[in-house]
Amino acid sequence: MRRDLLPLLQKEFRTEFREKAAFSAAFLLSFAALVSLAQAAYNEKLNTSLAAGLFWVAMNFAAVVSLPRSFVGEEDQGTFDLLRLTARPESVFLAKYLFCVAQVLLAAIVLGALFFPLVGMEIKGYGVMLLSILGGAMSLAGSVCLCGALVTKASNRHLLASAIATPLVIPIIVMGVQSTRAALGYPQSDGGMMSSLGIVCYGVLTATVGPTLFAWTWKN
Amino acid sequence: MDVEKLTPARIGFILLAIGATVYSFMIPELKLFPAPGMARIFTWHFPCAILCPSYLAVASYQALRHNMGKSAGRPWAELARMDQKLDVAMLLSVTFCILTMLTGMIFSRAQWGAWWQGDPRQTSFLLVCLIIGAYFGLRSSIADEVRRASACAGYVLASFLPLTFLIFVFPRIGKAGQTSSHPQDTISGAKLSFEYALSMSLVFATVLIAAIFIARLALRRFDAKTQHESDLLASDPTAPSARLVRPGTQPVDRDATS
Amino acid sequence: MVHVEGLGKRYGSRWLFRQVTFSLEPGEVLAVLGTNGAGKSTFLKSVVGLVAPNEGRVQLPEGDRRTLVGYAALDMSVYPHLSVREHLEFTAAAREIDSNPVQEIAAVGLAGAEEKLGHQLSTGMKTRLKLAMAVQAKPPVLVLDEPSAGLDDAGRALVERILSEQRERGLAILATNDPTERGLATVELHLEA
Repeated sequence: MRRDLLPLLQKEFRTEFREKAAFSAAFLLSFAALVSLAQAAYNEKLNTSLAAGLFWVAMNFAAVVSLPRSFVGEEDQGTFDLLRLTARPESVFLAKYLFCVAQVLLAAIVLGALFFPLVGMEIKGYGVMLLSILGGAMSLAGSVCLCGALVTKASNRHLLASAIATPLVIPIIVMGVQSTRAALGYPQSDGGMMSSLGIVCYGVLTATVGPTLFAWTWKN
Repeated sequence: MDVEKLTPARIGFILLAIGATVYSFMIPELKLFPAPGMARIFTWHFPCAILCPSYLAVASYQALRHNMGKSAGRPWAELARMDQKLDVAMLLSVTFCILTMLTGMIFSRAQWGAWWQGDPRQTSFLLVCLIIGAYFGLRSSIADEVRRASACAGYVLASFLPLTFLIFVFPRIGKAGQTSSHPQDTISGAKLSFEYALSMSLVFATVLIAAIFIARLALRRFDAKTQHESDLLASDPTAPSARLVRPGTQPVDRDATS
Repeated sequence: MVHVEGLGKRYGSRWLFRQVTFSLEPGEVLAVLGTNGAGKSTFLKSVVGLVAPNEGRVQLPEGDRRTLVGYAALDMSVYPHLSVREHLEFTAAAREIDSNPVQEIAAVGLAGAEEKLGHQLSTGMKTRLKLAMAVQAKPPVLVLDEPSAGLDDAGRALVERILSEQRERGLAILATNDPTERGLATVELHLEA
């Protein structure tokens, strides 16, 4: 592990601990999505595919709205140049990435722990579910974080970050839905574990390629 | 019309285009479809579906070259040309993506009475279209050309994995792959008749040459614009100047140029 | 030590500056002068690598950019939720260098404000903190954009001291319109819009 990763990570969490913006946004967005979904599904018997789909749509919503802030926020508060001159780009990306993973995991825990019981779904494959949430968090964080980094100098960066991230995360949502519905006991499920592993691989790939891609766009 | 511009190559291309178009209307109908005549649209649909990801691959290659060139300290003029190539490739890619979807939708409407079937391949191309659309959104939002090129190259590379998934994996996974109305082995299983294979090859050649022509035209226009700007700036009397002065050792230092 | 060759930056078809060529040796201080909008800040950003030029190149000494170049600018900010001490600890750790934040804070006249958060600092205090971060690694190249803006007399004296110390360990480039700062320069670059 790089020596300079720790102070960067520490800075992210310390700032968040005092500011309480990112995690509260992730929590509020996922909770709002949960309430809306539970309301829509009131008195309805959801099937596993639909429940898995709604869960991942809510995850996507929470991620693309809250995650780009990690980079866009640096530009907004005028500290991006300070970061660029004092830290390695790969370490900056990894620190922000890990912070975003934590954010998505929080959203997933809030959503997963409350949504499935609320709509009367029982998780039958905990291993598959955990893998899919972990892989989903890694993949969503990597993709959306990178999109946030790409638009830092754009004129309408907040909107644009979400707009360019949304189509990019669709493969993650597709794999997430496949594995989640398998975890919920979808009868004709084909390869829930394979989809879970697929999404974890996607996440690992994002975490591996992301720093290099970011380093390329870092020097403007 | 300027007759001098009609070089043998251009005459050849025009003849090829006319021949390919006419031939694609003359090939036999496919009786297994409700509207047998409309099956001929396949000869236009398939080449477009192949060229869309091909140009995405070209764009990714240019993005990679741009980023590696930037890291190696290549001059901006070279990077700008790579960025222009990337942009042209993305433009051609989205054009072929739209053409693929349009021809597919026309076929779907004629055969099954609905423009949209929810077919995995139809959906995947729509998503590809959205990803390329987001690229153009990003491109138009950054004013500085150097930053724009850098961000666009980054986005194209970042979208490589999702695009690969959407084009090659998504239509084949699970039940969706089995329920697709797209035949799986028509091409690979050599089930195309000679007429269809020939027509498709002719259309493919026509469309590919047209795409190369458009790309070359766009690059030529870019070069001409760059040259024009460079000429204008070189002769611009209001261009900014910079003078280096060492106080106490006037006049202007020889290092400074303007 | 620093060699700038044919540097040019344009936005659209308008050049901010063009064909700027010079070399600086240790002990020199370059003042970049020009009216508002002449491109002084962009020029400095091109030198430190924050802005990619459209033409030309900047050759800095070999080494790690994080410790090679110190930079402080008006449009650069500080983290609103980190204290003065935490800022210096963070930049030192990110640069992977040893530091003594207490001493560095005292050196820029911020003693007593160690635990103040970024958003609690005045403009002048922020400028002092940025100067402390810029010189923390004792860089051979120091680049300052309007360093005295928002500073009181003691702050201006601090800038003078920093620049004179910098001349002993390397060179400095500063963008300014301030006559006092201009007087500290050994070389002037006039950017004309």
